[in-house]
Amino acid sequence: MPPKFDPNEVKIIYLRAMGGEVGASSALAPKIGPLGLSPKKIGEDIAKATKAHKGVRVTVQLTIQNRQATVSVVPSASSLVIAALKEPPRDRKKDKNVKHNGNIPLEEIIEIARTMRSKSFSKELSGTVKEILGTAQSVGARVNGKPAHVMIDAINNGEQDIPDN
Amino acid sequence: MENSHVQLIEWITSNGGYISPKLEIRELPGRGRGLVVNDRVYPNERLIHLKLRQLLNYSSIHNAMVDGGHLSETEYRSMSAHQVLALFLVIQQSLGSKSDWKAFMGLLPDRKEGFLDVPLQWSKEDQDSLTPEGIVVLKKTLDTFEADYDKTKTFVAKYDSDPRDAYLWAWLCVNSRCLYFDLTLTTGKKDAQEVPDNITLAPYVDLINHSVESGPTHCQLKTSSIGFEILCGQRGYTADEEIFLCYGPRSNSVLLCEYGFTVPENPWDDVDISDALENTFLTKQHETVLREMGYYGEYTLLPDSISFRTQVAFAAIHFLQSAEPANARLLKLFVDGKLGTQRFQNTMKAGLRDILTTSAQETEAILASSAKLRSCVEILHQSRLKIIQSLLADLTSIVGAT
Repeated sequence: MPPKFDPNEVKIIYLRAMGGEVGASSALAPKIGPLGLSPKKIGEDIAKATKAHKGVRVTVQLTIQNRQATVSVVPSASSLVIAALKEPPRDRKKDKNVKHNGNIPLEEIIEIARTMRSKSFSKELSGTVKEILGTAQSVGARVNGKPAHVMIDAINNGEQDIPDN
Repeated sequence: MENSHVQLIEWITSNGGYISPKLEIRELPGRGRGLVVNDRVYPNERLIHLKLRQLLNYSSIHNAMVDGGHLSETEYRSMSAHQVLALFLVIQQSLGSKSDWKAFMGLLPDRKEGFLDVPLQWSKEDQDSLTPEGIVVLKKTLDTFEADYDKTKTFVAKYDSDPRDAYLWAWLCVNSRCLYFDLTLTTGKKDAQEVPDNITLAPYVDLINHSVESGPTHCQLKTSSIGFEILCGQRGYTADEEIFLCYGPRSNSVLLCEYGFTVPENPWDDVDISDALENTFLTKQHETVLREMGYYGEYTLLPDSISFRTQVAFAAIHFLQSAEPANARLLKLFVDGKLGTQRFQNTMKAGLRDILTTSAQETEAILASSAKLRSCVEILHQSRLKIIQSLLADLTSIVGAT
């Protein structure tokens, strides 16, 4: 007796993966193998879907229904900010404790805020922009050449205008 | 508009519910009833809103059943939501026009002719003509029905002279019309163990037909503690279009056995080769190993890929030919996703070719035989044959891509 529109019929699995790399499929295998999905193939699909985020950790959403899976990348503030720094891809096995001390123009921060709008709890876009600026601060990036918290203060004082949407 | 439609809409709106004036119930040729819009509907527009008291579910009918003297509290608690709801419908039907739910009962399928398309009511001969996938689903449905009837028959007999027939009708009504409804919202119980099946019957909403397009395209259901809403999906509808709800990713076999209809070109159709694999390929030893890993049974094939369960079965057949410990380790590596199928591709290809050729011949024979098949059964067989043929044509590349 399957009720119509049962949300439990669609299984959604979230995982963090290094963009463009085939991750450790053994972590995935016990979850998706019995559902009829090949862990090796899904691992490769994830690598393919995250190609644009090479070298950045991204959150991946696996939607599984009736033995068929779709892979999609969930936008996350930190991976978008790091991607906006346009750093050269590096080998994470050799470089350790990398610092992201680049510079991002404010326009790109606003663009990231638009992508993240649906996940944000803020009423206005300026609030979401401040959330992203907070992430930039924690990542270590500068915005328009200034530290991110200076930009947040500027928005709070009304010195920096943010479009309505 | 028919009288029964007007009565139902009046009953819903007078009790605080809402039905968009853009909706109409129409008879659709060959497909029974459906909901059609008579004007442009925009994405996310609210189409239907029902109050909690207009829904029939485990918590809302409790008072009517227990306080009404039909069941004692313990009897009620010992039954599943499906059993109680079906019993409730039998009682309401016996009340006739005195029932509080007569407007809703008036639009349920006819007791004599409403469910002639559901395999549960077919002759043994017709049931046996189903595809192997269909027979599996039918058996499960039949077993559930028999168990439910067994549990409730003493109560049903009080309200109807032909209890089995009455209960089958009511049971099928619930089976084919129930929607998912999170009961934790109304019972306040947080623990999933305490909550019985999360199903509800919703007047009017149950007239929306199924679409195979899942996701936010078609109508969306929204439930909250204040009621039950149907919103238009992202697609929107123009005048005279029928609105749909995706019941879920269901194959035609499931759709036929549970609801009594099939859709052409169903992307969720698959071929079940469990019987062939289990009877001719898998030994007792394989069975033990596969059971231990949780990979025994449900061996299926999709039009363009092989289910991982099936792959594991063939891996077991190949690696367990000899008792070398290294082979057992290889099998484990494959199940963990660390090894590709290269080592046993030939075994899998030969085995699948064998099974598929036999199945194709069997299906062709059934389709060509003089015995008259019901049209929906014919659709099932044809879709099965199509999948088998597409698999056979590309077997080498499909096996290679795994």
